Amino acid sequence: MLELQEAPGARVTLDIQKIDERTDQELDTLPYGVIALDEDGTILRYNLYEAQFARLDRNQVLGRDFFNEVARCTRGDSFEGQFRRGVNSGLTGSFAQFSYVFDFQFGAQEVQVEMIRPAGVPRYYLLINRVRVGPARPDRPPATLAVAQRQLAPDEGAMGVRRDPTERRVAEVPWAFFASLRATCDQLAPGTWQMFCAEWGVQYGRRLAIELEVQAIETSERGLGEVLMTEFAMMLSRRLAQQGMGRVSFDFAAMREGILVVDVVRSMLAEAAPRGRSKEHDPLADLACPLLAGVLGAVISQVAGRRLAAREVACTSAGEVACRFVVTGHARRSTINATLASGVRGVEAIREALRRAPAEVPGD
Amino acid sequence: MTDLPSLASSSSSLALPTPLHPATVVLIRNLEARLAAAQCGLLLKKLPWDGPRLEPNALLARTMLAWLR
Repeated sequence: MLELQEAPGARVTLDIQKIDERTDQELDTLPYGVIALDEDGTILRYNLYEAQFARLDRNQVLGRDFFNEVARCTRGDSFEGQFRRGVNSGLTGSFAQFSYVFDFQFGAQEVQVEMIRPAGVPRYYLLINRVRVGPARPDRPPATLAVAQRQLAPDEGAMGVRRDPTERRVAEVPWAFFASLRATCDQLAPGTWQMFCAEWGVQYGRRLAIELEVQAIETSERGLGEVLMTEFAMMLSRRLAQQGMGRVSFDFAAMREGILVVDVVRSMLAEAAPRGRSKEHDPLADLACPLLAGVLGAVISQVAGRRLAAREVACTSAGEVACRFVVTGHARRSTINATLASGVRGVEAIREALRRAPAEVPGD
Repeated sequence: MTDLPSLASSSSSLALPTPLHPATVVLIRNLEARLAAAQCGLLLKKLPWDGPRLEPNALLARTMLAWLR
């Protein structure tokens, strides 16, 4: 059984026999590599975790021959042979489990592999769990190394493609992009910006958590929850700063009350928010960074291993020095929401409201 | 108020070299981490003066986040 991330911090079990029924978006939240092949070894599905570790663009590997074009390090009896024998056997369910070492040009990765054929579908799933990562093995002939992104799509820079150092395709987005998105939302679906961005942030935060998880394993051989709080805080802060979202800092003063405060100065979203009069009366219109709240909530939930809530309680778009977010257990979100809806702002006011609130219902 | 989880099992390693002052805004013990923090502009700040010693440089992220409720 696998665990599937259904919501920030909330895990449910996933019957691996039903993995084929899961959407690509669901597979992207799994903390394991997932690759689906047809019986010839052509790549049909490739999840985010695998793409991050292999430093390959999913769009460039789909439809390619896994063994001969992409993961050339898997050719031979001990990996490809097990796949071929499993296909020929006609068996369903898990038909192979073994350890292996992936050899990339940028390093070697020790992995645990499980091969599965769900019943009733002509697709075969490789589930790949990273055990250890390290430098490239010097004795590997170049022709046996897994393909690199630049080999899959040479000269793509001339076609307007940009990549970051880990080969992910990126686009440079000016603040006007967010301003125009907000204007579009206000025009077509007035009053929905907070809800839309909160969910957008959660969805993106789950993927960012996978990215940070990969980074943590690559740099310290530990999962994101097992690194020091300082390391996690710096990883998240550095990543958001690299993206130009602002500078993030963590305030632990309220931890005795079960509250983490996160500050963001020079928030891109706050500076892209409309200033002055709004056409629609929205009691939360002055809180411009629900996207960041969703991101923080999803990432921190992933690290904590349980569902947490993050809400923006003060925003620079309303004249504050920094955008301030509170992170609490999920059950306290209704108290925070009600307090914000009444027009109250600021960390201290939220802390006071939480002190006065009746005991929350566990598991709510 | 609910007490924080005990840190007894690792209290010796968590002991701080000098008492914290409320004005302390950065608590990063080793120079390497301090430099890294400065580079990314990160502040880990406002640690409690009289409460359990919450030291983000010595506690695992999941352990520390377990205090959230």
